Amino acid sequence: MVSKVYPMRSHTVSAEGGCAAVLREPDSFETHAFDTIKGSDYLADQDVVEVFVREAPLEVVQLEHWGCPWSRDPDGRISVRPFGGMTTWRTCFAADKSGFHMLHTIFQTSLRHERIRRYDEFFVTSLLAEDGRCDGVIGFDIRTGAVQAIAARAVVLATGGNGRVFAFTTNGSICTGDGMALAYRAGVGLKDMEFVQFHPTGMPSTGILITEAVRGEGGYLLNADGERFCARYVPNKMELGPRDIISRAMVTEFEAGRGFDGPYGNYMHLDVRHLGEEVIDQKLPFMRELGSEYMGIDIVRDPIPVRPVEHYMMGGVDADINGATPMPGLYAAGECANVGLNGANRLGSNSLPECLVFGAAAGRAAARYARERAAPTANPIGSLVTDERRRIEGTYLDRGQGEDRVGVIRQDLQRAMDRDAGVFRTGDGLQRMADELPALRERLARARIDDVSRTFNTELVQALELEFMLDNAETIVHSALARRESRGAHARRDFTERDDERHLAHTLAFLRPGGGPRLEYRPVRITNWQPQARTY
Amino acid sequence: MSDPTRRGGAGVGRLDPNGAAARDGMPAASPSAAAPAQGRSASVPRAYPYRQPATWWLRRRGYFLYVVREATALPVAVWIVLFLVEVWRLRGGPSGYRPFTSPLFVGVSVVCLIAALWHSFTFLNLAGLIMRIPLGDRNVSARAIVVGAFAAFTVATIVVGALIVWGGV
Amino acid sequence: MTTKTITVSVTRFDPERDERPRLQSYDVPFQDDLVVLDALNWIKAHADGSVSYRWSCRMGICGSCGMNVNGEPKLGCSAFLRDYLPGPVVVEPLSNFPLIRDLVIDMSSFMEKLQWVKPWIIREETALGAGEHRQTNAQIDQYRQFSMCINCMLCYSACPVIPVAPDFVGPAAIALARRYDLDSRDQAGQERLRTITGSDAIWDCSFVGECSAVCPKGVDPAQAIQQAKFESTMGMLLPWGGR
Repeated sequence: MVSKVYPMRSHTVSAEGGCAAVLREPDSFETHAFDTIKGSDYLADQDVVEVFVREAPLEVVQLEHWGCPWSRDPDGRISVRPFGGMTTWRTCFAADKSGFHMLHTIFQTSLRHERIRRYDEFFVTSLLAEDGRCDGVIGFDIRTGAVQAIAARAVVLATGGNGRVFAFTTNGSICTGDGMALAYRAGVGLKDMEFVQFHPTGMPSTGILITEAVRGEGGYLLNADGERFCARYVPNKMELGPRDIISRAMVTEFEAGRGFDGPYGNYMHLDVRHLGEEVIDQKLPFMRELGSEYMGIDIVRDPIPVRPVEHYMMGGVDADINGATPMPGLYAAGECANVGLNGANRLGSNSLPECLVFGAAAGRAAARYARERAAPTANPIGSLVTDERRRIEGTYLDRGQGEDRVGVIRQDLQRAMDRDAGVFRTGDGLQRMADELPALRERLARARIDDVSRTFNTELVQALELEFMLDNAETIVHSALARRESRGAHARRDFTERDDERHLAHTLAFLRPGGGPRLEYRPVRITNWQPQARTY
Repeated sequence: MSDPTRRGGAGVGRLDPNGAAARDGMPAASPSAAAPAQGRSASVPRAYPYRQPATWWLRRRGYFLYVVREATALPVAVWIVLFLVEVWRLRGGPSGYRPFTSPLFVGVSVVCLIAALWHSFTFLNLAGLIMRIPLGDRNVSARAIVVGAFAAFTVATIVVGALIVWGGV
Repeated sequence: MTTKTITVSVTRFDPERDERPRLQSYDVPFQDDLVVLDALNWIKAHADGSVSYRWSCRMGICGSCGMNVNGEPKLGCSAFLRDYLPGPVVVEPLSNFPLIRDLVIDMSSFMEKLQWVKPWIIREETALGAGEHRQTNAQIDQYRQFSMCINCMLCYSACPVIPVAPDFVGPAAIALARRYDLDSRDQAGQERLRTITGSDAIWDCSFVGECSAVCPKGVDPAQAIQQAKFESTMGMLLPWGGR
């Protein structure tokens, strides 16, 4: 297991709300599948969804067997709570730290298996891919700077999202889309990158997530006029509408002048005062801590300021139902992959089970593949390592003193993405962004690097991450530009309607040296549910 | 306010020439760094060891109170030695009874008493933290345990005190 | 108009260049809602890209950004600059660990200690189809606080025993062992308990209590350790006693 941070720091740790699965009567696989497909604005591959909803409950039980402290009903069974876009209560949870408990459970359980060899704080810079087949990875030990190849019969990418491409995001600093860029550079397509999820309720200053479970437990969203404005947009689901619609609702309300004004822009109120202290301490204790720590409020007595914040990447490495990418030996799972589950918009609490189901599927498939193929030969690897070491040192550690700084270039990228690739997009804005990207790359190539040490050089890491982020941004922007419709989380002011005739397909972005990505399209796989108008 | 007690281990540039080739498959020349070591890029760099300052216990209130609490064992030990001396003097019978009466002894005893009381007080206060007593689905509250401990302590003190003062012991 | 600034002094150490760690000061623009981590990020982005430190979630859940702020172990993401006005704010690496670089400590011993206490459910496997093991919220309450540890190592930084007894398995590891020993689903019996009642474990602790004082998540590892001592002792003295 190779990770650029120690495993318990992975950003799954911050997930709050819960993990959806069909656990109770009267829920059914069909309902969970339909909710997911409708939530995806009919861009999900329906065969994938059908497998997903069947596997999710087993994975929840597996985690429970491994010790995950799921919250319980009085009879001792795993509890479920309502969540956005779900027609039944099916989201199980571990208080409001579901991701934290899941990650620690899995990591601690993994410690039992001494055959798992870990490379902690190892930064992968490139996939080893000769003759169109994946043979492992190259990277360096962050502590020593030593460049090393790790030969492998199969590689599973599980590197998470790329939220740091945006300035205002719930994501941690490590979410820079490394796995997506690695696959992209190796020639694998990135699928549906234009679909970026903006979560409605982020803290206005820091972007820290206020979980959807707050609304699941009964919280109200109020504008500056004190109205529950969701009635205007999703009258049947109200605050539990899907995230893309609620985020757009908030921005629309802001533009109509009905939002609050603050030092960090407009915001709305998320009110849970009516739930009472006991419910809040039982179901939302972490939210109370966060409110007190970072905003100086007590959510029992004060409404919570919130606004839409980048949160999740529906797009990712092109992978099938078993996590296999078109490149033999390369697999992908979790947020960094796009297996066709979430389509144009992901429902809250579908991401944690996605990691479990497709993580397991990719792991099994990769293991099967690894058993059947021969080990990669050592011969070319030595010289590849030398080349990579020269590339890294030559590109970053042997620079003159430029004026530009990595942190400033990164900030400029992030702000531009917020501006042009946010909740609402326009053709002009996206084009402007597409034109700015080569200039940002140029700046990075010339930027100064203060840190020339080989020992734990985090500026080097940040520069390499910024390169990856630029790749991610490029695929997001070009894919969005080419999709001339609004679907799910991709909302264009110049093409406001969904266009199933022209665009009921997945976008695939392939690296094309010297220009923007080459785009291809692949039809959506429909089994049982024909696309309909998506209203709530 | 840098920590003056962080000290260097073996000097800069400790080499690991055997490690070099194995790590990155290449001779260990390092172009840009001004610093001494070759093969440095391939060997694990020296980590600076941590050294606890001798005055560590003055740096935080918690540490200081801890040391005081632990130090109460000394006066208690001193008093027990003095008590054993008195007992030893009685080895030939009641005629040997020659209690210490000097003001110094009284002063020492008072100090020892305060130390012993502080020792007991801090210990009993923590009883709720130390003991876990299941009661059905939950545990007996920490507060209840502490109150119980102090009550037992008080009763025991009164009983033993009464025996000493009036029991003709 | 001059921006209000605050002086932040950061430990710098590059083993390739430095004999020993030293402090370097920067004047950072001040804002009321900024934390120490924000100051470090500003320094790295605008003043000195070579400052190295660990961080990720910035919301006190990943445990990456443990550091000493004016001598106290803190999470960099929850130490507000306004609490240190007028400054300077002295940011040093966590105590009791070897120093790799600037604020980055060597935590490999901590990882080994975590693994040592067998932090996983030990019981006979049951089929997934049989469903979940039943557990009530009250049963979860028995171990809940010990399950909140984010592995930030502030407790190791605060413990004065560790520099004297570096093999002491430490507060977080013992709390984690307790978390599993108290989980109604676990059936480890003596197997895990042995790891914390043997050498380099609970009996190395002399109950200073600073670990619990600095814990940002209310885990109270001191309680875990003392309870383990008590139960282990009772288990030895009483023939029917405990586990």
